[in-house]
Amino acid sequence: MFNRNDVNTWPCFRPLIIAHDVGHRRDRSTAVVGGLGPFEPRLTGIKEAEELPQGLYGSARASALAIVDRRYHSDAVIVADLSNDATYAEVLFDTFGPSRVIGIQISRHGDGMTAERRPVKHGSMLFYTVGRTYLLELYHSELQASQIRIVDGPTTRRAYEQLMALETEIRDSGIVYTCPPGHHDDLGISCAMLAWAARHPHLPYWTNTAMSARRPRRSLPPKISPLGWT
Amino acid sequence: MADEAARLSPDLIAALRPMRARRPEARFAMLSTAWSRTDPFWMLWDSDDPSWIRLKATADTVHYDPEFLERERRSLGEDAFKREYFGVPLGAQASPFTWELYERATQVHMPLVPPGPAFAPAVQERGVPIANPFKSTG
Repeated sequence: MFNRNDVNTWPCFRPLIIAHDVGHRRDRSTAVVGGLGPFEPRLTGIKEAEELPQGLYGSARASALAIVDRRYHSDAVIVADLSNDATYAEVLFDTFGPSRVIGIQISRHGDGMTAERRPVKHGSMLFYTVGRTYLLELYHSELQASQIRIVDGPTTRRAYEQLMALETEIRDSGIVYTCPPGHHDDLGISCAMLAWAARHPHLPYWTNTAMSARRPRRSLPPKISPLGWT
Repeated sequence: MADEAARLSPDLIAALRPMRARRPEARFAMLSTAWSRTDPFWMLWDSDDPSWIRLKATADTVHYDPEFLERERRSLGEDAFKREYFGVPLGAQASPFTWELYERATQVHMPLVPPGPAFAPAVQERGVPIANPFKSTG
């Protein structure tokens, strides 16, 4: 029976989002699967968090992500953190096509509301610049407002524990969240990326473009001309 | 001897270390007040590396006048006071992501009585249109 608080009972996500983070050494990457619930009021659900096999680069990493994507019928909008490897955009573009991948760059500042179109091999991709603090605080406020539902499991717990281990420093520029030495936060950051994407005002356009690219084109109607009459 | 080592860059510390290469009896000492949890001083202090001797001189190991300490606490504020007198670096603040938030996000509440048709999911009304980013960007 459908229960809006239990992501496992949701019939689908509208839309389905996969947040894909690549670690700063580029040997670690993640895939967090979730999206908005199909019914109103729409909650953000996180169904699965996965650390992709370590030591994958370029197309091998994109293929590992494609395996996760295929489990969900290749219907996801893919939000990829390309801060550490801008060239990876080309590989994602090749793997998932021109319309399903949204690139984000995690930096010190920015709310990720301004789209920038960057050229990739045979087209272009939308990029957004988001502050790390903004991303984490948005996720925190969504959790506080009970707008996020998470399927409890070992990997989603690990993702949250990474966020619990973050240390905060108050600087002149604001609060800075740092990862303690020897710890990782990529799985936790991926959850925050998913929450950011799910509430983004451009989300309907991302999904419309992704879906329209897959819609079969109508054949042109036959030309009718008076010249045909003799 | 690296004084105020917590404020030195990792590159500078890396440049200092080879200076002892031809003097095996020389020791590398770092002196510092705590600063952050990611600076070279704290990372060594907090590590398990047995090649370092750690000596601590903080307000809980040296006797200070309690009234003086209390005045300092009020003047500096809690974070700076802990950093200057107790060697607690910045970043000691706990993460705002508490376990209680996770439990709330994973808790599944099952109503004892199932809801009727009036509580079926509704369709969201259309709001203010937002510019299509695919058209607006060059």
